[in-house]
Parts: sequence; C-alpha cells; structure tokens
Amino acid sequence: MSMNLTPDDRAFCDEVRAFVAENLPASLARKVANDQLLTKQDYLTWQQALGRRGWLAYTWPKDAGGPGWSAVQQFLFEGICAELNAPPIVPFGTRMAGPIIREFGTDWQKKRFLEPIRQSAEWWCQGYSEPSAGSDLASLATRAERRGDTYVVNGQKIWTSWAHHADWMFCLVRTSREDRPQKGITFLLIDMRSPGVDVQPIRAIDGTHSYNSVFLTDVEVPVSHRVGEEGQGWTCAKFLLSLERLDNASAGFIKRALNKLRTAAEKTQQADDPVFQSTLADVEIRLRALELLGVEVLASASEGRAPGPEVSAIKIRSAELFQFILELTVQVCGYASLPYDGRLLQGETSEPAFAPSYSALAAPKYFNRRAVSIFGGTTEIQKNIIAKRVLGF
Amino acid sequence: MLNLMPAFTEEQSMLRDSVARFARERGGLDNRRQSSAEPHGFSAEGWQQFAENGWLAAIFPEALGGIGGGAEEMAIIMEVIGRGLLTEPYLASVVLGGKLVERLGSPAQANALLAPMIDGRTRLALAFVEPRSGYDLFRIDTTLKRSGSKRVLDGVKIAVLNGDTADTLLVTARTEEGPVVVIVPRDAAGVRIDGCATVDGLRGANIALSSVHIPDSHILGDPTRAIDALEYTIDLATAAVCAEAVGAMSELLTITTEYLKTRRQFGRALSDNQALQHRAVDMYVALHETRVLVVDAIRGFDERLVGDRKAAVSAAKAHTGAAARLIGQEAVQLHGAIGTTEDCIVGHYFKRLTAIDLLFGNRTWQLRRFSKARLQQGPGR
Repeated sequence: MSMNLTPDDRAFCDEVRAFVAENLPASLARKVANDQLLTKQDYLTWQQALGRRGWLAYTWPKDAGGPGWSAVQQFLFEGICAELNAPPIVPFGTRMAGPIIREFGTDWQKKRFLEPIRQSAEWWCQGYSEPSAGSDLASLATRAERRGDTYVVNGQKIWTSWAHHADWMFCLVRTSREDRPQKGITFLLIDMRSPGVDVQPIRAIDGTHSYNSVFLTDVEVPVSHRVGEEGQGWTCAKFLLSLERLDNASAGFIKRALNKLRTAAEKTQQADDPVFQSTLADVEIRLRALELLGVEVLASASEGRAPGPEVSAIKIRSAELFQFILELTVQVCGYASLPYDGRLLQGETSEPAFAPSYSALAAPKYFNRRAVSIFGGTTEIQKNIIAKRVLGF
Repeated sequence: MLNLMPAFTEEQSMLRDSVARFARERGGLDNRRQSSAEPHGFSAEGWQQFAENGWLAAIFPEALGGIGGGAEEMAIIMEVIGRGLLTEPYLASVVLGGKLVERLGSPAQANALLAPMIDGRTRLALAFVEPRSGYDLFRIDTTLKRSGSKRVLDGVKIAVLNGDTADTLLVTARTEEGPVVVIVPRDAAGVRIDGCATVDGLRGANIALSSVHIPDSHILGDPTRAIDALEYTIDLATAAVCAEAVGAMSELLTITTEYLKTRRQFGRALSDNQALQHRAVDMYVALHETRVLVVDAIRGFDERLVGDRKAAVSAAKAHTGAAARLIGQEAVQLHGAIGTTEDCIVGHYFKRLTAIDLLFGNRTWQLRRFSKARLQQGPGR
C-alpha cells in the first residue's frame, strides 16, 4: 500500500515500532495474534505503557495533553499497532468520555477525570443502549430524578462493553419528557461502585463475555457529575460525531485475518486451487479499495476537512470484507474448525488442544464478529445515512 | 411453514407427528443448554425415547430388526432434529454408523452391531476424517498392517461425530489391497479418545490408534465392497444434514419474520421497512429453492445409479450450504445485537448451520463433485 511518506513520517514509524518492541510483551502480542480473549490486566499493561509515554490519548490536541500528532501520524500509529498485534485500545475513556468532558465539563470534572483517562488509571464504559433503545437511541428511558444536589437514577443499560472492568460509566439518562425525545436527555458520570449499580454478564455466541447489562436501581449521582446542562446530553453525545475519524486499526484487523486465511489455505493445500485463488484475488482487490478510500479520507483530514457521510460506505465495506474473510477461513479449515477449544479461546493456555493453531479459533472468531455489522451503528443505519445525506432520499 | 420433508404414506405422517411432538417438548434453547451439559452431550432419557418409539429402527430392514423405511423416513426425522435443535446423536450412530454396517457388514456383524444399537443400548460412531484428508473419503493415512500373525491399526482420526462416548467405532483404514472398515471397541488397547465439544454445541472426538490389534472378525464385511458402501453412507449422511438444515432454516425464517413484526424502533415496527421485508423474502426464496433439491436427493435414494445419486446429493448440499450461510447470517443481522448473544436461539441455529456446511464437503467441494458427476453422466442428461 503506497502512501507518500515524508522522511519525518518514516522516522515517526521507526519511533512507533521501537516503542512497541520495547513495551508490548511477546506473550501478549501472541494472545492478540491468536484471537484469544484478553484479561483486564492485558489491556492495562499496554494502555498504561502508552499513557506513560503520553501516547494513549493520541487524538487529543497538544494543549490537552495529547502528543499533537498529525492526521497522517495517527493513521500510521494505528496501522503499526494493529500490524504488530498490540491490543486494541478501549475507546470509551480517551475517545468518548475524555473529549466530552474537555468540551462540556466543569473545571472540577476536567481536573478530576482527564488525567486518569490519559494514563488509563481509570476504566470507562458507555451507558447508552437500552433493550428498547438500540438504533433509536433517543428513545432511551433510564430516568434521572433531581432531588436537591443529587440525581436518582433508575433503569437498565445494555451492550455495555467491559462494564465488569469499569470504574466509571458515562451515561445518557432522561431527565424530562419533551416534544422531541432528544431534548430531555442529560449526560451523567456514574461511579460504578455506587450502591444500586448491578452488572450482569452477557455471553456472546462464541461463549465469550465482554458485553453486560447494567441495572441501575436508585443510584445516587451528584449533580457535580452532570456534564453540560440538564437536557444537553444529546448535544454532548452528538459532539463526538464531529470528532469522528477513520480509525486505521480496522484495516489492520482485516490484514491480520487475511494473513490467517492465507496460512490456512497453505497448510491445507488449497492455496493453489484456482477457485480459491480467484476468491482471494477478489478479497485483495476489495482490501486495496478500502485502503485507498482510507487514504482519501486521511488526505481530507490532513487539510482540516471533517469526514463526511461517505465514511459510512467505508464502514459498510470494511465490516463486509472482514466478515467475509473470517467466513472463508472457516470454509478453508473445514473439519478442523469443528472442535470448540474453550480454554484456548479464553486465553487460559497458548496450546490448542484439538486442532492445528491456524484453525483452532476460526469458527468462534467468525461467530463473534457477526457483531461488527451491528455494533457502533448497524450496516442498515449506515445505509440510511448515505441514502439521506449523499443520495438525497 | 412446517414439515418441509414430505410424508408420502400414513406411516410417514405418523412418524413425523410423533417426532415433532418430541421436539416440541424437548427442543428449544433451554433444553439444548441442559442437553449440552449432560455427560454425553444429550439426554440419556431422550435417547431411550428415540429407541422406544422405534425411531432408531426406522431406516433398517425388518430382517435386521428395523421397520423397513429408508431415506425418506430419515429425512423426516432429521428435519425435526434441525427444527428443534435436538442434540441426540441420530446422525452419528444411526446414519453414519448403522447404515454403513447394514450395507457392508456380514449378516452376523450386522446383527451383532445393529440389534443393541436399535434398542438404544449401544452407540456407533464412524471415524473417517483425518488431519490431511480434507473431504477426500479415500485419502487415508491410517493403516491396517500385518504384524506377525496379527493385524494392527495405526493412525489418527479427527472430527469423529459423537466419538467421545460411542461404544463401538467404525474406522476407515488403508491396506495394500485398498480401503477397509474395521470395528474397534472404544476400550480396545491402543485406542486414545480425546473428546471435545464442537462449535455448534454438539460432541466429537479426535482418536489416536496405536498398534490396535484387529482380529479378522473385526474387518467389516467384504473389503472389496468397502468403497461403494462408504460412498453410499456418506451420501446418505449428506442428504440427512441437508434435511436437518431445511428444518433449522425454516425455524429461523419463522422466528425472524416474527421478530421483524414485533420489534419497534423509531416509532414503527422493523417490518414497516420494505428493505427488511425483502430480505426476509430472500431467505424464504433460498429456503424453498433448497428444499426441492433436498427432496429430490432423498426420493428414490436407493434406486438411483451412483452417478445420479452423487449429482443429486451434491446439488442439494451445495445449495444447502449457500442457503444456510444466507439464512443464518441474515437471521442474526436482522435480530440486531440480541442475535449475537447466547441467550437468543438464533445464534445457536446459525452455529449449527455453519457446521452443517462443513460436514461431508463444503459448498465449493460439492460444486466440484457435481461437475465431475455431470461430466461422467455425459451430455443429454
């Protein structure tokens, strides 16, 4: 993938590679490469190393404690980390709670929360979706009743990634019923240790646990933990859309999956099969298109232009391609995909027990990643965005 | 949309009704969880019911203690297994094990192995997949060799369906004269069974065989007929999982359609979106196109010429694989986030359909075999 890198960019890449070599334990990189589940400590090990270097909040401007990287440097950093099998950075602190607190928070909130976010000293989770409020998030119903200096919160959040690891949750709650549902939403920061917060695990179809339900029963939240004004919560949440950028990590995950597919084909003597070669060619062309689209968005970002709705096209294709590669890998592995190696999947061992390593977790990975076309904005919603904002329907 | 495998006779209708009753009571997600947690991966009591109701006898000739049915009865049972997400090892023990014994075994061997199996007292498993075999039934590295006055079996088998707890293994091996099938009791010296759960919630095993002594009486039937018998058995098992998939896909379509009508976002039902209605329609069309190919492969299974049989089975399986992928993936996607959780039955159907596509030849392999079979059939067919 050719990008015109300046000598400074090349030096930057060297710096990033050197950092990863020094700070990413080989055993952790192996777990990531093998699609095994990571522990809380696994994530913290990497994130806190980045934090010490000042690189965890890499999208923050310099005056907020970020490294002041250009759009190109951010892009390169993401690609190299994915290529070298660094754990994905949990986004809820640095990419969501942090920017919102910086933009809308009180001085106290900024002092209290931003530095721990920069250092990964506190773990954040996102209290947005509810059982009846998925794609239609504005219809959320978790209530917050003001009583003096406290909000009393009741309701249920769902699909809360890593809530079981989290110290804090940023939460959209309803403080009033208005003509438009968005108007009655307020943004609260909730201490996960508060009485009344109950986290229940949700198991995905591959047997792993990352999502949760968070039940909130008479949870008391000080008014000083409200970000922005009452009823300004939707505005806070929408602010993040203006910060949206194309994360180059997804391309990295796709390339990793593609390498696994090639390995599986070689090990099973299918790499020379003309049908496979033709299918692989199509996959590689689609990946090339995605990379070119990404570089185009990057060029816009470098010129200060925020990405537009065409980013939805990239999200759609990126999810499709990733899912297709995982599906094809299971096909190529055939019978070797059948045994379920729970201990390997959970990261309890590095040795597969029933099948060769190239196939041992192919099926669970395929099952689990059906979620990429659903979470963070379904493919259907992405299509609606293009339909409305690009095609003018 | 019930009962897509046809019942042509009154007995077949009664069979279908009784198996469907079993599935209504013992199928579904909670039952599946319980069954998967059982020591053998299925309910011993459920298997006894299979035996008592004569379902284990359905496809064997009366002379061997069966009821005289065939592929049609098998398809009726398998469709219900698919619909109900049942975990009983009918495919492994009755079809893969039992039918091979019936086709290849001597009368004495058939009686000895089938009678207790039909009674529900013992179970069979067929070990024919190897680490390097892919889908080639006759790429066999496991050897049966003479060692002095004995014969010994050496090799490794993988993906032995329900091989973790079967009483008797039927193992394919290579000799100088060609492939053979040998009978191996699970506790024979030199047999190591590594049982595991499979990704679709069922059970399997890897089996290592080290100098296992095989007496002459344990070579199944006349080895010169082994190739035909094995091909027949795998073709039958392929047709069986196609029928199972039709049942599963039909349930998924029903569940998904219902969900689209009841789930509301943005002030309206999901089904108010024409785009989503059409996707459900696509699932329906794929299902019914697959159904007729599966029914065609099942009808007259025993009467067909081998080349015709291979073409019909591969056609059914290739299409089943493609439909299973579409319907499984769409069912999950149309359910949104809940479709990705273990608490929703949709994901479990999706996983089983994924596994079925991998069994006995995935869709790419089946297309190739169909091509070869058609070439052999020649023009004008």
